[in-house]
Amino acid sequence: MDYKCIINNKNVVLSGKEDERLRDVLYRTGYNSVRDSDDREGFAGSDTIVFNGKLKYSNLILLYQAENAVIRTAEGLLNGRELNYVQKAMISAGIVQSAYNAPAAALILTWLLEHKPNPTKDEIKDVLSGIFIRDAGYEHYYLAVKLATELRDYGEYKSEIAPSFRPKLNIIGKPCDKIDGASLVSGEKVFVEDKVPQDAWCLHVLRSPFAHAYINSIDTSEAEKLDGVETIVTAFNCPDIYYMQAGQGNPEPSPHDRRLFNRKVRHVGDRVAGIVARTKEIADKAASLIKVEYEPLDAVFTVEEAMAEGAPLVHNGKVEYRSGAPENLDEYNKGHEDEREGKVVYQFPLHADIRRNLAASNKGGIGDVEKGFASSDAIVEETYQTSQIQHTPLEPHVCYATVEGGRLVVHASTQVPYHVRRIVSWVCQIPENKVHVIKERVGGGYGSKQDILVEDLTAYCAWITGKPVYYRNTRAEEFYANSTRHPMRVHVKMGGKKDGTITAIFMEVKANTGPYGNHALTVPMNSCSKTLPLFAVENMKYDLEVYYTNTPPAGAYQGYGTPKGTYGLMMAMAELADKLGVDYKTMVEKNHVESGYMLEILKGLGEGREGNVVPVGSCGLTEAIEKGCEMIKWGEKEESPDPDWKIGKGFAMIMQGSGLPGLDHAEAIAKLETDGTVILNSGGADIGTGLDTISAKIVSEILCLPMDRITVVSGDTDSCAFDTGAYASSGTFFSGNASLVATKKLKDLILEEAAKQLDEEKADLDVKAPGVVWSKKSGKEITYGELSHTAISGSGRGQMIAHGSFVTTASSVPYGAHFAQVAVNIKTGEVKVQKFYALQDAGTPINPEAALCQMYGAVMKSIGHSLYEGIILDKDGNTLNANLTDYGTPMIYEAPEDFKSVLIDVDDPDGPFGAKSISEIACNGAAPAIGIAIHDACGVWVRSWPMSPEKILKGLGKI
Amino acid sequence: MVIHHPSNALEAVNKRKEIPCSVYLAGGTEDLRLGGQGENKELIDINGLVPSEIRKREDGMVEIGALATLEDIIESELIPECVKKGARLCASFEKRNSATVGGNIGARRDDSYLGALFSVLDVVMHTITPHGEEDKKVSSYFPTNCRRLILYFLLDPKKEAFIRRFGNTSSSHATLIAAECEGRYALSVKGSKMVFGTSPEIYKDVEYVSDITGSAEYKKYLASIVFEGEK
Repeated sequence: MDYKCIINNKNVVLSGKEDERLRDVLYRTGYNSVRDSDDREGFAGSDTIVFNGKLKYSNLILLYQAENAVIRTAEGLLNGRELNYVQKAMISAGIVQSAYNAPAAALILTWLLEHKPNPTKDEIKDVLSGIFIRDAGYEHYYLAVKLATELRDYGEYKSEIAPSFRPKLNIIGKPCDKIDGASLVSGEKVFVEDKVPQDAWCLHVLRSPFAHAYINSIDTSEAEKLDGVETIVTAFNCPDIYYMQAGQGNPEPSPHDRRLFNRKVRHVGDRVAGIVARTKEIADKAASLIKVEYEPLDAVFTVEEAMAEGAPLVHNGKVEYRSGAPENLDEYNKGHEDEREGKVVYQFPLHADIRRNLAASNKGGIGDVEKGFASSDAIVEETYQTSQIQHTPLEPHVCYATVEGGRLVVHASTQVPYHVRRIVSWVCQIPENKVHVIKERVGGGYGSKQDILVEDLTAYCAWITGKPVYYRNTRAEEFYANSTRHPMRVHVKMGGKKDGTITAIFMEVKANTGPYGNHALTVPMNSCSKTLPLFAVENMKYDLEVYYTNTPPAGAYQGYGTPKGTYGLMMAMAELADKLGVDYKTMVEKNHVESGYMLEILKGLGEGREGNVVPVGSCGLTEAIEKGCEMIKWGEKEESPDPDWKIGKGFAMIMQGSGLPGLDHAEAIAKLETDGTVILNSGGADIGTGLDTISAKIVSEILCLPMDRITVVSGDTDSCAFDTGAYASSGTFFSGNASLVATKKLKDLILEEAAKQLDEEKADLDVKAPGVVWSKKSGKEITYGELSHTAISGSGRGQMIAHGSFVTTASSVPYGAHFAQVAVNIKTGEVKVQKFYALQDAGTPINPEAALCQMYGAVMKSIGHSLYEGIILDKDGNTLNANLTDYGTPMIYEAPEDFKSVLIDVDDPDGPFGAKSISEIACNGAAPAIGIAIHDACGVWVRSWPMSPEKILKGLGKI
Repeated sequence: MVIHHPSNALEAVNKRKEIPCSVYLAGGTEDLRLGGQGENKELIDINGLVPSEIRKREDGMVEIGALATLEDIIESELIPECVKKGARLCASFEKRNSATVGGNIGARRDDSYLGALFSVLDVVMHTITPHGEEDKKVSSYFPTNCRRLILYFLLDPKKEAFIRRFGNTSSSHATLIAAECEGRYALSVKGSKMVFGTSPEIYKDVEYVSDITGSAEYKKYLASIVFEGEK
């Protein structure tokens, strides 16, 4: 059926079935700014349009309802290719990050300003109440509106966008529009889904209804008879290749404990069959015709259940080691030959024991904790439990793969293009040169796209069928068949003296890795390795065990295990201070590290290998604590006019890393083009955080070249060189440093070539804006364009191309402190985060406005984790809240009323222009800061996530 | 999905009676959303058949067309603050632009934004049944399963009421919504039927269940204290 309507002031005919969702039809018709983040849940707002003058979710409108409607989409905001004033202001404010719904947000704010030219904060909040922002938080949206009004009224910005750093530098440390901002906010076809042709084949995954079961047989014969079914892949016909889905350095510190499909399903939602079909409808029908004979098994869902004597074993097959096999391995494997169990292959020992569900373990420490406890005046010993958190990126996991020229081309939304290539090549059993991974723009990753969760199967299906194959997780699958934060039980014993000196810390971590061991060691290790080094304590010990269970899988999440370790340790320290009668701030000040402190504790805290013992380098921790205490007026008790509401304050010191020294690796190639412009090929994966802009700014700064003459191509495994990827806070530090090395080398080549062309000494030459080489001696000048043109002429010396590679053992650790003021209703248990101040030392923030937004976004996530979020399973392992509404993602009304991010100015000797990482660390402080503040308000220690009203009421003895 | 397009309200009601597995389609936020009441049902589109205006009548009462949206209520000068507050319990601006007052009451959800409030405000709904038009109080409509079509609501704008919501986040389904007006009390508790009465003790009439929004114990506690200070 055809339906006539007006879209963006043009008469349009939309074609389709009357009951189709308007969103789908709009997208199909070319209005690709109208996206879908929630499978028509009516929550996330990526599908927002203006429909007959009102902002509405297009997923909740049927096609026939569009007859004669007047519709506006974000495409209508553009004048030709020029952005409107709101879109420009959004980029300048730094909020266009992963940007999956940035066009929708631009449409909403434009609508607002058309109806209320100078809106109040409450009016902005109201109009943004239906759009879910996970990356940048909401705070700079208010700034964006302010900037938009200034641009509209004065033609320029009057307000400060973000603080500037390093006055001697031209562009580094200064606010500057993100280089991909315009394409993202305008709704260009930059995401994986936009690359999928209409004739792509659909991949559908039949999933397990059981948490734990053997698959004794699968009959696909009826399904295969259906017209339009190309292939069905199951455990009985998939390659016998064991691997794991974590995108980590090879050899990985995670067990290879799965194949594409296994004879045993280990969680509700585990893969049973992959169906490649002409359409989704055919695939669904085929799935319903597949007959699976399951043999259900008892399951374990918690660490306690997994640890219990005689517990069902999640993996109980043969164990192999690529290196370091124990001598008794044959004995260990005896009697475990059931092929349905599969096997577990370790690249090196992870101190695991699958016969006890133990996926990995580690222990170590410094000093003598028993002696430390003996010398203490008080000891606290408590357990802190964190919940299973999902990343909820607005763009779900998605992949499009096709075969071209005998090679596999994989369009991926990934943080780790080179790890995708490696794992796909393993699974498909083809060499890496036959696989081309193209990282498209990533609509939110937060660690979940560090794992190769959909690319393995999609690419395999494309390879064996030769068909273009598209796969996209449903939102529900994102919850139960994807990856999540490892739930952890952090047991802390801490002793201290009356003056506040901590004498000993013992930290016992039990983590739940779910059915497979992705990041089984590395994520939980961070709960110790990125927390204990905050303490200048002589006696510290940790004992870490990670267990397999039958819950939805766990994996990487922004911050890795650090938010959980920080929650346990800071809460325990506050409890100890309370017990000793010492001010918490005094205790923090007495026990935190400062620059130069030798971190002996790091020795055992490597990623399955021996760690590097280094001193604390650049460190803004003291300043963050002092400044934050001033801002929140630490020590001053606030009173509420309502006696039911009690106000409290808390804070936590935090740290992270900047990549993995000794493990991570980054490469970049800088090319001077024929007209004097530069193309930088970076192996780094910009996942919306502005890494490409960082690379471009580095080129601009070194070569004195305007930003519009620099293009960054990144994350394409054919055109760029290797990079371990965007995880572990490595982007700025590793990929940025590789760009810096390449650019410095290119500058050297430019000067060398200019010396020859100008007949000058290289030492007398330098570069200046806008891309000119000049002689300090003679004053002669030559533009890069002239220089390059001659260099590639028939008699020239060739194109100037430089390759930069970066590895290091230097550890540039970002530090910070996060502060919260909460109000707790002692009658109802409700909690309001009134104030949140995030103070962080990021070294030189190369993109300060983007850095601030990443802090706001990470804090909002962590407020969510602390107070609202968590996957809830029933007794059979089914996820009860596999949607955004029930799961509890925080929206704008959950944002603190007074919310500030502050960048502490510290120059780091090893980072590019002094930069360290910014984003992951910002996930670490909210839980303990809020937990400590809740106790300050009402006297209750809430020792588990989410810190819900119900738990507070229990703590108050009300229920 | 089967969609029916009746030409008038009576036809819509008759269609609803004819097809047991059917729902009225108004704003679509409940019927068309993932997991909503319209899934696997036939839809009877009532848009254009039912009023959407908000107007003041000569007797001083305010008539709210069943197809008025929650945002229409918030923007109307005729609507008392407590009702606007009830409409704002739907935290999404986009959703409020689609969700209708009639739809919210008609769905009779256990976390209805307006159910408890309209009950204590003694709001009367003018409805159509296969047998003709008739008035019915919201408080007596809620416990039923009847398929009548709501045409408009009659609200006394002079009345003010207490309304309080508890929920995980602003956008989650509410755990509990309580309302009180002039000695009438109502409680919408997730997982339970709405209760209505003339004493705060109505919380004892609720059959509480534990679910993802909270334990039965927690819900009962909230219900027991929510009217304190409002008595």
